Amino acid sequence: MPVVHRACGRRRSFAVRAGARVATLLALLMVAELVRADDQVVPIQLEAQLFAKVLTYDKSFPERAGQLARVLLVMKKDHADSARVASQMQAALRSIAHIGGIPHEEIVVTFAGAVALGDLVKASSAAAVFFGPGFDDDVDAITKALDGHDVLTAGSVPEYVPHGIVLGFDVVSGSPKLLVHLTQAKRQHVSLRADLLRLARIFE
Amino acid sequence: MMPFERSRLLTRLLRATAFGIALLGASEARADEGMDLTTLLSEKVVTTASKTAETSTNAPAMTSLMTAEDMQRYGIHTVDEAIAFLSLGGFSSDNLYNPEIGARGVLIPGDQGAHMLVLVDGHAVNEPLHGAANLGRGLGIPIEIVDHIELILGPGSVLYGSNAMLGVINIVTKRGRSYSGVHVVAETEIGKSYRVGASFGASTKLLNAPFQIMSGFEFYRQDGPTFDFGPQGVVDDLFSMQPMRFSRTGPATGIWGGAATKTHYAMVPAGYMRLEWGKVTLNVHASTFKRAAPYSSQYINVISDFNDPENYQIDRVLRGDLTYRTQLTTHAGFTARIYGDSTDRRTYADYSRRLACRFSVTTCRDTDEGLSRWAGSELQGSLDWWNDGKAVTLLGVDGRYRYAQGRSDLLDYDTGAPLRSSTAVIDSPHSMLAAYLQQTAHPFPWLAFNGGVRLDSDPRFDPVLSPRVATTINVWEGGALKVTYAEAFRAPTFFESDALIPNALLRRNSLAPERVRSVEGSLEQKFGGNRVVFGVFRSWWKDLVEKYVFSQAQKDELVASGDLGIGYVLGPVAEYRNISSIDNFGFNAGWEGVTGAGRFHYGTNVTGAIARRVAPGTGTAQPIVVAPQFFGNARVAYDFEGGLPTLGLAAHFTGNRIADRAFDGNFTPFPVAPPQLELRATASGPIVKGLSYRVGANYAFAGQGPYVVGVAQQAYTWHQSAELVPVDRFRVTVGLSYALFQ
Repeated sequence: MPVVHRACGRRRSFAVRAGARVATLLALLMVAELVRADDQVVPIQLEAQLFAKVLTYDKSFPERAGQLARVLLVMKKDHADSARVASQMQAALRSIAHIGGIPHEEIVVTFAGAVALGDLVKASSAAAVFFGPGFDDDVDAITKALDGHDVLTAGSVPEYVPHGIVLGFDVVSGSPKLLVHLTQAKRQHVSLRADLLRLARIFE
Repeated sequence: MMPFERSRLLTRLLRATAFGIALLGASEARADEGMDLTTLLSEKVVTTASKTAETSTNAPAMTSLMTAEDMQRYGIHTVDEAIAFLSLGGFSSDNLYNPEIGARGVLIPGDQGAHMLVLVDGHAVNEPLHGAANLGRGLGIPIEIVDHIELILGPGSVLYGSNAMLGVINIVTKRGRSYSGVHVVAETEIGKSYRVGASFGASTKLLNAPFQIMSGFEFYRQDGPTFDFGPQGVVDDLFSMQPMRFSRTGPATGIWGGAATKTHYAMVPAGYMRLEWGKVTLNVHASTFKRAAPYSSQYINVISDFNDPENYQIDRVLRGDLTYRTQLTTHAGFTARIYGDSTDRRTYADYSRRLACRFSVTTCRDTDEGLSRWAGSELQGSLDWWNDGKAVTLLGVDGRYRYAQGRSDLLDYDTGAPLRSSTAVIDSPHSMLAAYLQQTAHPFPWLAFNGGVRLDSDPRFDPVLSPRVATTINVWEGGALKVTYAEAFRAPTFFESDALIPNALLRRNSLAPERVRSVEGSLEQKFGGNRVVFGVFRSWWKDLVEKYVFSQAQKDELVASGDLGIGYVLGPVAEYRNISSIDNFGFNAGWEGVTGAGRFHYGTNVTGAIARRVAPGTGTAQPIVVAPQFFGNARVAYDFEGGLPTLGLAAHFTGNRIADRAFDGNFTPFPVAPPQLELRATASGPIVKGLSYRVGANYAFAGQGPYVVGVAQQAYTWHQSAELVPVDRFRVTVGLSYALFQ
């Protein structure tokens, strides 16, 4: 009499139980800290090179920067990812001799509010301000505060640009892409060359 | 042609090439600072080789990246097509059933993809029962939602474990923010197949956290084309003493072949979803892949009836993973991932030959069922020692519980009653644990180092160590020299290690994992929008698991030792063993670029490889079957823009390929598939706002592939030559897509 083995799949799965336990643990972790997780999508070294190169396409940058281009790298207090990106961007930019053809210095500053940042930009004569992750809730206020200032804003998080950060970076199809908010660029007296705009995704 | 003339021709060719390169470089150089920006924007950002975003130049392995734009331009429908037409170092081989993938001159026929690790958004899809991974239509990922495909050449177990012998393929899907709106597509290969699908993407904020979703669904149906096979005649059925029967109905003719009108079909309903919310990412993939081959061969429909649509295989897949990423401190990051997979495969074959069935029924129905389920968790920490990216340590552990079940039954086709007890019964649960460590260092802007090692523990064999060391030196502006040493392994599949068919497939000794180690060097030069790469490689494979077929003398010994019943001493008896090794070396070269204000795209890749298989006892090295020793691709496309079409022309070519049964089939003449050149012309563009089209024509110049088909899998006195699998030579594809709410 042939003996037919039981059909595949009729085993009560230990794997399912084990997976459920791990999932529960993970869910608890998630609930504990389901906060903003911005994407740093472009490798920092490449992003720094792009940032430095794009500034050469900013026609108002030499006048704005003067002899020494000052770049504020803004980090958010108690936001580890923000501090990490600011620090890594500082190191990456230091390895580049000139940005926009001009010697430069980077200053890491802690974000103390949009208005305060606007004051700081004015006081320090910063030519550019760079934001790492952590500013998703602040971008609108920052855009408003820097309106009319003579400064280029850039962010490592692509989602910042539709909200008014002038320059952003993304990776699509495995290649870096430039994002430009043209309207805000004009408001901040940033004049980008047409050949750059042809290469960028434009927001208005 | 005289040698002198040949030399002069070669010189002219080299000069013309050099002039062309200089012209392209110069044309970009005139763009002033745009040249550098174009170069930067042409960088390839990859994530697979070291589990972190980096440029392909700095990646610790030769990486080929196939983009969504290129797949659209050149009419690519599947991952195996992308590899054939666009990749460097990879190739695919179509068997009219489920395409096989190879790299650098090595392909293991019938391995079902087990020697190439396949990832979808980083999730390994090779199942443990057969090691199988589908890369054709059966993958079940709509091509519209694929952002890019990364092909990492060479051993890649250091971060991913088993199966990464030939390399790693990672299919990366689009993000919700870059794929907004609803997209509907309908496409047909005229007279052969159709596909309908819908996908959507969106990004917003949910509970104060960013939320992105991207999802795609499709239904694919293929029916035909019809191929003619045979006729192949064989001896009378020794059991029925009548002509062999290859069909349930009609007279027994002893002839295999005719028009396969009902057995070349496939059907794939599939869906994929990727959801990102705050620090959490959820991926879910489900698909079914049913297909039938229009022939029988060594690996497909082995002894089945001809043109029987009920000979088919069906795979069902449900997989998912949940990932949580966080930055603990400015220096330390943490990722936790849980994953679970369920795959099952059922294979049905009807055969009416009494010699094959051996029971007094009209037709036997062979059913093979296999089920694999696994779940696990991977924890990964990273430490950036000085928070400047110059020294980063990655440490991970991966614990997994998995089990596989399988059985093979023989039924009376007419009654469904079992004819014998189940065989090849597999019921194997076990746990696995792995740990890996990777250290990257960029001490100077011109130097990058990547070293790592992974330890995999599997209860079936001793722990396996898989190291990798790679160094990249930026030797001059735009030029990078890379040297890599890497090892990889493949754990025996559950079928290989656990299947037992009394008196037919023995299981007497445990199997060791297959191993490969390789060393390679490459030089890459970037200028303007161009990237030129040249590399050499050498790899050594050992302990390859193969089915060893016993000789008559060995079967007599098995009978004497009680491992084989006396009644089976004349039949085929085999067992899986670590048998062979492969020695493989060669070169890769590629050139790709873009010019003409980003409108003119071009690229070409060439690989030359020597691969020799050595089996103990024979002492002789044989070329690898099915795999070409020379292959590559080339492509050009122009985007007219402004509502005008994009025109793309792509080609892939392979040299001679030795047929799979060449060395054990004793055929005359020696069966070799001819060189193949396949051309694909594609036009795509908008019709009206939201509505776009893509039309294409595909033509293959050679009519045969490297697989011996039919009942004559070995030469007989009355059947000396091999019949090779036909090629679907001409296809026309028309597709429409509509996007709304973008």
